[in-house]
Amino acid sequence: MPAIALVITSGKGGVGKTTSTANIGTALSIMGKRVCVVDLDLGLRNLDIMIGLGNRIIYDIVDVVQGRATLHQALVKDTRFEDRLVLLPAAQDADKNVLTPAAVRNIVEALRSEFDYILIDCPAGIEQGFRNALAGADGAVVVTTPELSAMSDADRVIGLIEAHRMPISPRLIVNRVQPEMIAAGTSLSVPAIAHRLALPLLGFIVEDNAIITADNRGEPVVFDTNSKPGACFRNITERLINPQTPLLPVPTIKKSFWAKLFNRG
Amino acid sequence: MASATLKGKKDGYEIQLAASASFAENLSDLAALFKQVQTQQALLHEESAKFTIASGERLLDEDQKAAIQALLKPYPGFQIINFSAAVIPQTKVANLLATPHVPVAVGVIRSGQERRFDGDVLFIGAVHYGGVLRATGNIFCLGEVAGIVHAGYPNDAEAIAVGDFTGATQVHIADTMDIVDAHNTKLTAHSFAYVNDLHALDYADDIALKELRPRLYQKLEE
Ligand SMILES: Nc1ncnc2c1ncn2[C@@H]1O[C@H](COP(=O)(O)OP(=O)(O)O)[C@@H](O)[C@H]1O
Ligand SMILES: [Mg+2]
Repeated sequence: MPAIALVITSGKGGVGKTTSTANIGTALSIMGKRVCVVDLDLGLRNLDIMIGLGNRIIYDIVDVVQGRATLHQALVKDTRFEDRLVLLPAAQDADKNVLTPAAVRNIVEALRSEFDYILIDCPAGIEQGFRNALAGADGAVVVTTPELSAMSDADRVIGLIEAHRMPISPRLIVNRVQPEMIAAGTSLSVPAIAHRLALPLLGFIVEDNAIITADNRGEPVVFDTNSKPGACFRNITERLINPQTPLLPVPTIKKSFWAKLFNRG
Repeated sequence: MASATLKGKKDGYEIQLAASASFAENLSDLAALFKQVQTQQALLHEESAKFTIASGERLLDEDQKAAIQALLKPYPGFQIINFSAAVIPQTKVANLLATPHVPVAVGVIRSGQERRFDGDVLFIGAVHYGGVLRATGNIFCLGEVAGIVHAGYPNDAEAIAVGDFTGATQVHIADTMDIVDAHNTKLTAHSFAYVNDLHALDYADDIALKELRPRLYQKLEE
């Protein structure tokens, strides 16, 4: 079966697109799938660092488009997974506008036969870079955080994705979920966010410093079988492969007996 | 008497029944309330009183209305002139849907999107923050509104906008507008927006539709 190509997008920057691409890509490889992660964030590439392949880049996607390298020369293989995980890096110094939707579509088509999944890490914004990323994909995963500003940007992006009419309908990831804030009523709950954005939920990731430590080590947090965000990403990946997989229960902080007694309703 | 509250109106009384209580509770509270009104009326040497029964989100059926009427037996001067509810009966919604001149639209209007309609529209869906729902005629909205609604666009001040706009950003009718904030007490989940005599955007309770826009009311009643 040819690969399914999914774009990971959000509108707003810094909400966890790259973290999600790196972790879902890694989890898919752990589960035996062949995955190519494509970094389209030209000029701000960091998917390579998060996956831990930063030091092995020789060519990038712009080199491929401009004919300085073949597609296969640019692919960086991750030896941790018998080459099941492969990165197509972004250019760090190229002009943002050298890529076009047609060029990205051609690259994705060329990759399809060799992989099960192609994950496209989208730059922030809704301009050229976003349109390029959308052009190559069969479906989208929209990442948001519980802040209203992030949700509003996600909503804008979802509208554009729906107008684009992709074969696979978009799904939502809520990142940086803080159960204490939900319990205190200072943050919307995960189902409430999905309801507000009127999008089916793929999954959520809790706020956790293990993600930052993992980032610094170049070892995505899914490797850590004991970490909460790792469990979240594994659940998301399982639900990506099989939509029937139940959603991980959203962690709740139960109010203590005394808190309930004095603070009813 | 928690589930039945009395309000003076210029042509009588309005009694609001809390839909959160059971109908049995409504009835017993109502009986107590009628008794209290009679005591008051007696002091004023007045026998007759007119009531409107507003049942909020509970739609009373004929049996329930009869049960309420039965409470009036001891008070020959009392009369119920109207029953009203803040919900639209399914049959009326079905009628609205079947009426060709109110087109139905469904969907989600997301941030950055605008949907425009010629004439009236019954919009079933959500208007998200940053989204705009615009019609040259009336807007009837069933769903959550966090964005902007604009009825009577660009200049029909007779148009109204019906729906729960308590969470909206702005409500516009013709060339008037209101920036929705929490301080407007007239704006409730059961109010509608219209342009008042002073050509300012205003809100009124659903019950006032008959008075403020009689022709539209008739059209909807059909
Ligand atoms: N659930 C989380 N808990 C803690 N830190 C997170 C979490 N998700 C992302 N981060 C941090 O937030 C920053 C931005 O994430 P990133 O994936 O680069 O966002 P984007 O690609 O959308 O710009 C990174 O430093 C990352 O480590
Ligand atoms: Mg990024």
